[in-house]
Amino acid sequence: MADTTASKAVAPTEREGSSPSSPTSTLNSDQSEERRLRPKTRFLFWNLNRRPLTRAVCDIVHEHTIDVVILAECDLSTSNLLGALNSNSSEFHVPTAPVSCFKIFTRFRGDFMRPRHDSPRLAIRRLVLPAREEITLVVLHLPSKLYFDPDSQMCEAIVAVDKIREEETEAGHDRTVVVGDFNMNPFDKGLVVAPGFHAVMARSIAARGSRQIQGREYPFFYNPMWNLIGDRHPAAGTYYYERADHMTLFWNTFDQVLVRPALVRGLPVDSVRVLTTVKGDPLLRKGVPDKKNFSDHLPLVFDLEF
Amino acid sequence: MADDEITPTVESLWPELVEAEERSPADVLKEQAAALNRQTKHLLRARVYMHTGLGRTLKADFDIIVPTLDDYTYTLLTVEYPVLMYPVQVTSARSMPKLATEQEFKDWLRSFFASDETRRIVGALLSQARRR
Repeated sequence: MADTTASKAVAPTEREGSSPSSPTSTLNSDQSEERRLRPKTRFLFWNLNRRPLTRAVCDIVHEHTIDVVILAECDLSTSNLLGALNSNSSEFHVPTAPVSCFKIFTRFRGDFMRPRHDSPRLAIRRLVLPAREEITLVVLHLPSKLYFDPDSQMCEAIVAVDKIREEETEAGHDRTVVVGDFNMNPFDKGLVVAPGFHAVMARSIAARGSRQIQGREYPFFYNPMWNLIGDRHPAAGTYYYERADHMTLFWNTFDQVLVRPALVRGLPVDSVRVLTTVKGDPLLRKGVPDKKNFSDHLPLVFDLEF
Repeated sequence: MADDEITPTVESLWPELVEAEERSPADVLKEQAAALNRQTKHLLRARVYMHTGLGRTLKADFDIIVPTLDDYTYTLLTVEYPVLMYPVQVTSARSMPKLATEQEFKDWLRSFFASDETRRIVGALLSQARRR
């Protein structure tokens, strides 16, 4: 794992609306001041379905100026992918990851992302960027509906959340973002139940922080993915599955990002998007993910200000 | 009078109680955690982290902690079992066997610990532990 460039010790800060030197915007002065103080970091999550998609990953990274690349079901060699990402520059690094089932690359020095925990389905990192508040990044890939029934999936969600809360206690804060392939939709039990992710669709509800049930406190997550379901968007979800039985949704939104209330204001609704093209080439074929040329999952991109 | 004192007029309906001969999966794992700690001279610290499963089952994670990496933890496998202890459902990165007895569980553990995947993982953790 090479620290390929000693000069790139600075976190990405220069995005529209975030530079301290940007001209006065049409926002009111409080919002404008807040945006100047909170730089954005752009994340990509993509389940590659074990396909050799080096070129597509690099094209997305460069087209969308991605800062943090997170890949699941990625059999690509880390060194080859790093070389491809750095083919025209030396911006990308590989953070320390003693053992991880995900591949993560950052447009900042790898030691700003500290490994905290890995298991076959979960990775927890602390992101400590210069002059920025520390956040906890959780990446997960939960079991598939093909092998787990809804109650078992809910149990796995509860176990994952227990681990997250343990880490939040150790970190001393709840500035947590969770991203990955949940293999569940926003409305599935594991995402909704209080001991699970307790992920709500409305920012106003998440802003309450937590809710008490039978004397136990359950903190919320905010789930912006509710806004990305259905026909208002180029793709109605992130994963398509059709089978000949009575209960088929066709489009699913398995790939999701959730944030704790402390980070809700840093995740504008329109900053979360599901990509359906890469450099003009469609990731869909006949209206569904083109799994022959790309992946059966669509990529998820979001900006987080913190 | 203490709860455990029986007056002459109270008849205990309990038969003679005998402890189960088999050890629980968690106890087997705790022994192996201690063995790994000794073998790595505490460069790695294994622990068994208990939590509840669905319904009346118990779950335990076998975690390997790297103290020199700011207590980074890796969960190597998880077991879930009923009050009667067996069969035990094991979940690892590549397999999910269900094992009917303590002996079957220990035999599976022996081969799992010796597998290329596990040796690669533990080797990577040890290597990183030593570098700090």
